[in-house]
Parts: sequence; C-alpha cells; structure tokens
Amino acid sequence: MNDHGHISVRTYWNVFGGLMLLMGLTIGAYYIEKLVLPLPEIVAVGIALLIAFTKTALIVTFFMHLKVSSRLAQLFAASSFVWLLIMFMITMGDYFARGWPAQTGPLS
Amino acid sequence: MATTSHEHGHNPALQHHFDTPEQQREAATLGMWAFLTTEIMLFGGIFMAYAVYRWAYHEVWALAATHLNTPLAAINTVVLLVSSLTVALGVHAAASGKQRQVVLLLLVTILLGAAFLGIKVTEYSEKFAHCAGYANPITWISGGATLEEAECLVPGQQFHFPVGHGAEEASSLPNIQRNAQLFYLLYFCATGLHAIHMIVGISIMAVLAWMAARGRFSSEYYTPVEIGGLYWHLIDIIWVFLFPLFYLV
Repeated sequence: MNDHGHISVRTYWNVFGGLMLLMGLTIGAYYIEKLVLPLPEIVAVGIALLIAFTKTALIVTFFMHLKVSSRLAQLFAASSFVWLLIMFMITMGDYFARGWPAQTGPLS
Repeated sequence: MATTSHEHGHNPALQHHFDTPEQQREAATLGMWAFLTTEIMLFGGIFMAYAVYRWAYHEVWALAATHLNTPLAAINTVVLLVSSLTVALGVHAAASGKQRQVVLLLLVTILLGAAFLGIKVTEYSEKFAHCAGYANPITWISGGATLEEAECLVPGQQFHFPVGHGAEEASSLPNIQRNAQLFYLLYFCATGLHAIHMIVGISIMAVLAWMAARGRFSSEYYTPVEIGGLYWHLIDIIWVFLFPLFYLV
C-alpha cells in the first residue's frame, strides 16, 4: 500500500531505546519479586508476559513495518496470534476439564 | 497489461507475472508473513508444553531455573536487541539505496548473531561438562578441577538434579528428578530450536550482504533484504519470550 520509508531512522532508535528499557524492567521486576516483594506466581508471570508482549508489539509495528504494511499483511500477522490462541484454548481447556494439575496449581 | 505502468524502462528485478514492483513486493511480504505464522505455531507448541507443565510443577520450575546462567542470557538479550536494530537500519539503508551501508549493517548483524551463538555454546558446554564431572568446559578438556557435587542437567539416563543444600524444600516435592528433567528438556528443545534459527538467520544475512556487495539491490528493489529482516526480527521476538520464561522463573 504505502511506499516504504515512512518509518524514520530516529523512530528505529527510539524503539530500540524502548526495548532496552523494557528489558531492564523485566529483569528489575524479577529481582524485586525474588528479593523484596514476593508476589503470587501468577502475577509475576503476568507482568513478565505483559512486558514480553509489549516488546513484541514494538518490534512488529516498527521493525517489521506492520505500521506501513498493507491491510492484508496486517491481517496475516494478527492471524498468527489467533491460531496460537486457538491452540492454547483448546489444549488448556482439555487439561482443565480433566482436572489439571493433579496437585494444587498457582491459582488455588 | 504488464506494460501499463512501466513504459519508461522495464525494471530488471520485476518478474513477468507481476504487474508492478509494488505488487511483487506485496506478494513477497505476504508470503513471508504466512511463513512466519507457521514458525510462530512451531514455537507455540513448545510454549504450550511449557505452560502445561509449569502449571503443574511450578515449585520445581522455580528451583530448576536457578541453575541457568541468567547474566549470560541477559547479555544475549541485549545482543539480539542490538542486532534487530542493525537489521532495521539495514533495511532502511537498502530502501534509501545506500549499498555500502547495507553491507556494513548486515555484517555487524552477522557478528552479533555469532556472538549470541558463542554465548549459547558457553552455556551449553558448561552443562555438558557438568555431566562429565568437570567444573567447566576448560577443565573438561585440560583434565583440571572436577565438580564437587554431582550434577547433570542434560536430559537423559544420566540426568541428576542436585538437591543438596535446599534439601528440606526439595525433598518435599514428589518426583523432583523427573519434573526437573522436564524443565531442562523444554529448555534444550526451545533454546536449541532457537539456535538453529539463528544459524539459518546468519546464513541468510551472509547471502544478503554478498548480494548487496555485488550491487543487486536498489531503492526500487530490495525485497530480499526486507523479508530477510522479517525473519531476523521473528527470531528476536521468540527470544523475548524465551528469556523471561526460562531464565527469570
């Protein structure tokens, strides 16, 4: 659709800075949870995954040019997460329906 | 039909079954995204297994992960993020027709990729040296210092997770050897598959750098650099998830 080049070099550097910041955040959060403020595991994993998905969004949008790609390419990229979601929902749904885990899990 | 937009000089890179260079680029990008979707599902299977077993054995997971080298993995994260930047800048340079800059940035990317693999090899060889009974890979070769406490974190017959010091905590966990082995099996599968992708990625970057050096790209045609870059960024994204899930449990 759009011609390439609408993402400037400056933006790439800013995105890189953001990614480094988020990486620092994920390591910092880990040590704070371990040493200072113990959080329930489900919350700790949630924070780590939230940071990871934010980093992914930054990489996909700017580094992988999805921001200036065609609608169809954007749809394809979004679809991969839909397929992933389907796989996780069906598999985990099956496990939970059979009473997984056998012993107590992080939610109980 | 094919002539409508290009009466003034035919682009040599334009294949005859495409009407315009834009259409050709669009098709290549779309095809790459379709491939990346299959890659995400490939790694997704490993993440799926990880989710199932961490849910069940989260105490073992927390214990097992303490034997991984988190500082080295953090350095590797930085290395990969920088390499993603150099690739992004390389694609940008290709789009601007700066051939020399493309070659330079891709070579830096290859170097960073090799550094990542070098650190990965250090991590792996340490685990294998422990299985052989030595403190680290160097003493393994030179026949130096041996390991005081038996440890083998490579899945297999010899697998032995050391429960020495945190004995009270560890002994209360049923099947700790089996479940710790599951963690390390997933660790080696996930990071091993990722390392294979790095090797492929480095090869692609080498071919692209060579093509760029031969002047095969221009601001009108740089599709290989663009989709090669997409592949590299995907490898980076996979690591963005592997790092917190294995090293920061």
